[in-house]
Amino acid sequence: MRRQHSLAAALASCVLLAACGPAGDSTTTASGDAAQAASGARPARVNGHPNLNGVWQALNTAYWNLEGGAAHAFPEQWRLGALFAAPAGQSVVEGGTIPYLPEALEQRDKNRAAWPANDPETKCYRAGIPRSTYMPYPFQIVQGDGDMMFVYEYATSNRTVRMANHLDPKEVLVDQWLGWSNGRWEGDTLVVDVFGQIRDTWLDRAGNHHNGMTVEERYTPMTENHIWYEATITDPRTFARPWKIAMPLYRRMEPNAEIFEYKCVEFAEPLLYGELLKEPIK
Amino acid sequence: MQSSKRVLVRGGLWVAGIAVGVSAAAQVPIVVATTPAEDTAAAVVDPNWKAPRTSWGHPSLEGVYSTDDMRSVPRDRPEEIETREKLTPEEFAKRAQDDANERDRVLNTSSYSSNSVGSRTFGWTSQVIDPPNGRIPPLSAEGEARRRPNDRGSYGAGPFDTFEDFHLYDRCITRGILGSAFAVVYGNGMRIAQSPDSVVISYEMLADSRIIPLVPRPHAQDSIKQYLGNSRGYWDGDTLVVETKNFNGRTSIGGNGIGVRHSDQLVLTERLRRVDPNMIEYRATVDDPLTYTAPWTVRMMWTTQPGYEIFEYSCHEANRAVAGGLGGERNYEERVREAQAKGLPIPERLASQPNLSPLPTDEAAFININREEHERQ
Amino acid sequence: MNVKPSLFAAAVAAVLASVPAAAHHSFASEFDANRPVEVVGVVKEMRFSNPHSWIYITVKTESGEVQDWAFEGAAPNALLRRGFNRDSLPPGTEIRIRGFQARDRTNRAAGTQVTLTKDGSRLFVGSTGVGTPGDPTVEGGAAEQ
Repeated sequence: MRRQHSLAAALASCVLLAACGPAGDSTTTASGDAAQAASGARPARVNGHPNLNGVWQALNTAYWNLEGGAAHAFPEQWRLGALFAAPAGQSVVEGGTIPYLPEALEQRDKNRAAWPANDPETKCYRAGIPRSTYMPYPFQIVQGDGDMMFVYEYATSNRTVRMANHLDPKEVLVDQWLGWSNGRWEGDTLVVDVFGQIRDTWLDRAGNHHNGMTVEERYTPMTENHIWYEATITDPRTFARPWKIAMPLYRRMEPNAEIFEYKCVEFAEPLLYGELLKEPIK
Repeated sequence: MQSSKRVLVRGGLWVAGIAVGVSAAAQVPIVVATTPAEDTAAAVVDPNWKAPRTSWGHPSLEGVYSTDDMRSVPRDRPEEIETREKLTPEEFAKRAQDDANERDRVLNTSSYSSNSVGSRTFGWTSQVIDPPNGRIPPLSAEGEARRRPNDRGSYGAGPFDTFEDFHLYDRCITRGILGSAFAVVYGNGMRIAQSPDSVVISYEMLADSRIIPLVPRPHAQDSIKQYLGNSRGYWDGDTLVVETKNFNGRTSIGGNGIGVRHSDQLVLTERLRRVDPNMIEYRATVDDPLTYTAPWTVRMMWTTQPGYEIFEYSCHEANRAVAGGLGGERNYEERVREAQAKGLPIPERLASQPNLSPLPTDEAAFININREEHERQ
Repeated sequence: MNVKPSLFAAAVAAVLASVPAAAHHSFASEFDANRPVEVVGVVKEMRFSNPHSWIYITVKTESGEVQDWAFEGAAPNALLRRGFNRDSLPPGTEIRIRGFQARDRTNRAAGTQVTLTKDGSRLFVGSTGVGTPGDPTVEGGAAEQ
């Protein structure tokens, strides 16, 4: 089931992956791949496509605010001192700002004013897509021959990217927190269409939100250890036009890198239920 | 006479293996099995059958499965059957008929049941295969000492004073590894995806998942204790062997992960082997001397069901069980205080534990909200 | 295939005996079987979610007050199998709905039977297997209210 690359495409992709030797050659035999897997070496390609397997993490301030800004404190959290203030960061939004419709901008401001109590992250609710990608926790891509799985350390959330048997968005019966994902390859870029996402997910800690967006993600290998991640967000109820974010994703390079559990429901329970306890937490 | 109006769903999408596009007239044909399903597995029919390989040469375990076909196989073997692992032909015929009756009820007659049903009948006398009597060994003294009244969570009598009076499933945290595999009334799906260096198993309920690295390195440091432990896997021929340690001892082994908690010293060894294009044989050995008087092994078949669709069971985001239970308890305490202050009889606490009280038969028994009757009572 | 009710019960009992019949959480810890409620209201939204779906309705009382109520329904899998979809109860639909009020006496209830005002058609939204009074999937439970 190997894709037939044109010579030019093969050269281009192997340069990108810095693996222009025999190991990066798309004609590696199955036994060669198995031997590599057994020896612990990472094959450059899986089933003819770039190998995106691994533990990845974004390293920016997008999770605070996609539009970036200066470092600033949250006055109500003064007891946490310098532990808890937002660092400065650049916007990851193409063009700098998010093109809100006026009403939706008001909602964003309301979200900000009521933060952190109303942030789904505070309650350990799933972060949706694309927010799950740039949360300050690693995630793992599991890519084989069939459907791919993305497993996020945050809240042990996970999603399946269907590489075959795509769902028709019009057939979706139930919205999901991580939406539904159809994936395909365009050359060496993994393109994922995300639809059917519950409207309650946010885009960051700065109140950026949506009312039923679809997202097109693109994962393009930059080097063996970096992926260039882009996400285009379309939601005519909230934004004047589709808009895009982009950032690098970094491979966690520890030899024993793995994701652990951040099952945060119990961290949120005192906040969610504290007033209802026999001995209330206030 | 009720006219049950079924709405035809667009596209006839199959949901949980049941055709949702079925109109009120069409019935799902029910087949009574004549051969134990385990005997029809490709690896049994043809000893030379080999599981298909992934593109990098590993046996392929990928797919979407459920334990729905295990719903009629008891976990513990009836004592009178002793060490026999397979049903007699008469016993099998009865189970096959019972399966068919249940499937007919759920798919064709009931129209209300939330249950999930399988499509095969297996002829195993129990899911537990070791010890040889097919029954989970007794708890050790330490295990017994770990029992708590609130192990039953919201199905127990309470009182519900804090969130820990509910179990991990009520709280939508996890059901543990085996608790996520034992077949219950619905939500028995699991998905396996694999790569050259990892296998991931994702369980339908709570959308829980765990990654099994295939690299030969030690487990994570002891101080990292997790609900689903920390796993390491390797291929032994065509069998994936997974060893899991680093449990935090807060999970229990049982249906829905409910019951006495095992210790944090549990070592769980699982073996997964594809025996058929549609079947994965799953064995799990529980070794926890601080909980059980002997190790024990359970065997299930994870099977595909036609058109099974796993929906994200995100649970916590819409969970009202804990808040509702706590709030209900506080409201009850308030009403008790009021009654005591007024010298009135103490109101009844949990109206319907154990389950099922009869429906009100008198129309007048219904509290009418439009007439604000709920505020006057 | 027509099977006598007594055989049904035996079959159900036999199967259920080997499998925990319990779904996510029990009815009784959250709702009160002694508080059967009914109301006519207008659907604001129907939310398919796990562990339970929710029907949010706006209610006008006789004194002219407007109240918001939330009725819990079965998980999406069960509802979809009964023939529900996203368009079954669109916002603006007037319904009569019955259920059992929450133990904490808030404007929440475990829903059972829904009747559409416009044509009298009925939909059962209730969760089964959690101990709801009159669970229609268990022998002795009534299918109608």
